[in-house]
Amino acid sequence: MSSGPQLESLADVEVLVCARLGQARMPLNSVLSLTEGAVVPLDCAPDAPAILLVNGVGVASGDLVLMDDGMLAVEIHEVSK
Amino acid sequence: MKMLSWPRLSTKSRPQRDSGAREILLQAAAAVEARSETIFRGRGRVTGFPPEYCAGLPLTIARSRVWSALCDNSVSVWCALDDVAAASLLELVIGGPGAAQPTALERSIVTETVERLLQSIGGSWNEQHDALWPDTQWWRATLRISTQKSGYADLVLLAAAAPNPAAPVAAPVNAGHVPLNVVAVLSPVSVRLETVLRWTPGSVLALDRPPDALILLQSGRTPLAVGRLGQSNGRRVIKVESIALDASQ
Repeated sequence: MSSGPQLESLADVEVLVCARLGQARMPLNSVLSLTEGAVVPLDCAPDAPAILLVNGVGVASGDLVLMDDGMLAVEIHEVSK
Repeated sequence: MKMLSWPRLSTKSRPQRDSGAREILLQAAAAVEARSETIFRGRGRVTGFPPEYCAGLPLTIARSRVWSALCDNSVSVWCALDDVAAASLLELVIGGPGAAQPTALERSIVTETVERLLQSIGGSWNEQHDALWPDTQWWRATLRISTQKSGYADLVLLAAAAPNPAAPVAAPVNAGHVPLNVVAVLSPVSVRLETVLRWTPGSVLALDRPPDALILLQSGRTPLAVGRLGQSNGRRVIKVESIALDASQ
């Protein structure tokens, strides 16, 4: 009986990771009246951790940091078990 | 003055449309009924049925003789007598059946009888040989002429009804207060699964985006707007730069 693919064989699979910075719960009216310049407050503090979503699923969280090259990065603090 | 009492055919309420035309038919039927005893010399009677609103003309209209008049100076009223009713009316008047194919004399008897009845309504009635029927809805009242010996003949009065009032436009559901979850995300980066599997506290994921990178506001998978990250009143905020729909155009 053959087994499924080994985890190692999937190592090269590319996944999409995005950082969720926060969310807001907005009435539909407010969403529909969004215009350029509008400010949408999120439900978190400026230094709140970002959630890392892998193909849409949250798997880790961490702080939003600036790298030496001036680019954003997430320093992971917690990984989902 | 003799008062009409309409037979109650149904207890179901009917839509009231263009009561002007309906009232004219009621009055016309009452006038015919009042005159019928004189016309038939007590040998026949007319029973009027309440006007009904109908979307189209009677199916028998194609084989009917038709008269029309302008009543009340504004409403066209039509009278239709189909060939079956014409034969019955003739039988009622002459006391026996007419020829299989109505003769000219028989036709004129029917004409004379109908026009005498219609004169009681008022207006100038003329037989229409090539009637052009308005494409509209109608009020229809049936006048049943009957005797004790013979059967009956139905005269149909028609008056154009006002067009159906436009159906009320259903107000859209007021969903303005329905809350949506709006999520702010940085545009995704592609990462090898192996890297993800090795994440531990302290790992750093380079996002390859500058601090002023555009942030996407989306609800579910639907993009709503893009903006820049900021902070205000102790909270993280997104200042909208463009609406997603606009951005896609």
